[in-house]
Amino acid sequence: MLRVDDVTKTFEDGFRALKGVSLNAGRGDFVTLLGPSGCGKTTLLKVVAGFLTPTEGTVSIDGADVTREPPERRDTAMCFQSYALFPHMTVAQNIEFGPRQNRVAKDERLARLNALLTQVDLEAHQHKLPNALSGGQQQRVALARALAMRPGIVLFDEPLSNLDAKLRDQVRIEIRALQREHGFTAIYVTHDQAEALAMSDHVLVMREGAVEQEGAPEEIYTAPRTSFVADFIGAANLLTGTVLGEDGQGRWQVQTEMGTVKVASDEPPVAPSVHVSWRPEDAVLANGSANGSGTGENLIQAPIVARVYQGSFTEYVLDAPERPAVSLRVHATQFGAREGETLAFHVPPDRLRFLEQVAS
Amino acid sequence: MRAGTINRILIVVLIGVCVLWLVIPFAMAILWSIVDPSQAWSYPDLFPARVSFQRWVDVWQNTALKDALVNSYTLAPSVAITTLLLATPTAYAIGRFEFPGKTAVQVLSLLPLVVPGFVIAVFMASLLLNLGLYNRFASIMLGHCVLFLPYAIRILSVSFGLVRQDLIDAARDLGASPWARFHAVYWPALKPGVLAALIIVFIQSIEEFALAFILGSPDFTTVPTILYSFLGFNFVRSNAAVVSLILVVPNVALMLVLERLLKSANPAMVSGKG
Repeated sequence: MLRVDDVTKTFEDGFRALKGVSLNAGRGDFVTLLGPSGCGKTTLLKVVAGFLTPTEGTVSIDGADVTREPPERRDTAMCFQSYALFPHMTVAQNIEFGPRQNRVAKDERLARLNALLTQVDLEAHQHKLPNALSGGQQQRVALARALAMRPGIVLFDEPLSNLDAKLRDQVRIEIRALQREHGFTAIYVTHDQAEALAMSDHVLVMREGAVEQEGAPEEIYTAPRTSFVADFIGAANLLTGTVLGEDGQGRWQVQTEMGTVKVASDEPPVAPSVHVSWRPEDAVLANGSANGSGTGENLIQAPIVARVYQGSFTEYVLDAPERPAVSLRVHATQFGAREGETLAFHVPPDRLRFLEQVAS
Repeated sequence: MRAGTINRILIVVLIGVCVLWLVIPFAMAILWSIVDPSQAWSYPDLFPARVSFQRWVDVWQNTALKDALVNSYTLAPSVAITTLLLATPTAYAIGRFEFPGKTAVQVLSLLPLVVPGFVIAVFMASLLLNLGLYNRFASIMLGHCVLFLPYAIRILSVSFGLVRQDLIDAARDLGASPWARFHAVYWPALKPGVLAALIIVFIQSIEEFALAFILGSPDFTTVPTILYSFLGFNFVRSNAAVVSLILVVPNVALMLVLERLLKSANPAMVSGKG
């Protein structure tokens, strides 16, 4: 469906926004480009839409090379971050704009309009101007306007960033529902990792113009390959480790800031000196954990520096036993322990992950 | 409460200023224009002793006012449209692009504003003679275009700056041709500016004296040259009042139209931000 091959984009001022990015999306896929600002995700979206021509590489849609085709001749429709609704046109006129430009017959145009107005629940507002609508409603008009084109690919440029948190969750669900119903391919740009995990079939984590890691959301979350990905997606404890040896069954002894731990990994570490990460929620509190002891693998005892009650869990900030300058975070559903006490917990060896080599 | 008091004081002051600067001169002009020639209006009469429209008839019948009106009202629209066309490319560049030397270009484009009209007129006249352009209408039109280009460039470049790039992109993305893009995105943002520029240049051209006088003399008259002829050596206040009313009333009407246009240029409609 959509194929982006080894695309490089260098701007006139010499800034390289994309450095050899490739992307494949099948029909009906929901692909998210995730990364901090300046990582090139929006540039890539504009290359796909046709607003930017790549310096090198190709973009093809349904097997046809469209690298040099302008946006008006591509089977893509974009949902802009600012919504970009025509302010002097009513909701209905906005939605009809695309079909009108493409000379869709009147009956068909009205049929699409009415179907979309129903789907995005805006029939009552169809004769209003955009600035009479709330942000969420404007967002839905923008979506309906894009869908009225019957595009094969819909491009989303941080569409929820101007909405408040509650509305964001709601529109997120609506976008996903419409995507399933219409069967379009979605390329979705966001810097919000929660959004990416919740919506996508496939996530590309981008950094400085290149794809750092790609895969299903579960894979990105549970098996990050670099500290950047581990840190950017959710919360992570990042450690530096020295590999001491392997026991022959895929268990490695690693010396880290929180002591010597066992790491169960299918893949060997990439170097003797390697970053190791684990998720705060993977810690298992030892019995009688406050001031307690315990037995078992990877038992860590660390002083509690801060305790942050979060409702469904409590976050403990701890000093790493071997190097107190390094903080550890543990999410637990038991709330008993206090600052100044010692927390004892296990990190199961299969929850520790080898990341990239430690830069020397 | 406090703010209310301040507002009320300001309104009173504003009304006072309006009366002093606008209503009194305007009323005086009307009164002077209807003074009957048979009996002079002099101290200590508060109002003219006898009033009639004799002055109006007199000015209309015995001066070149009819020709001057035709000249002025063909010249001004021609100047307005030509200036608009000339200003558009520059305004587009200033409003839509970043380029080296942009500030210099902006300042340079405003330069004719600071040079006195007579200075431009005198040298324009010799330049046009050297170029062999003897047509008075064309000469004055050209001169007015130079003189009023800064207004048009300034207004239009602001308008071009208001055109939102995301709307242009959205229109393209939805398959709009260049013409459809202009119609859907550019024109709604440009319209108030285009009309404002047309009216301002029109009014300026109607009222301009120095260039019209120097380039047009002796036989090409405009309304201001007639007006000035009543002010110089053969000073006739009543006739001058008649001509200035003829000159000013249509302009005031146009200013009111302009005011409405600028008001209808609701920023929320252009920018989408309420």
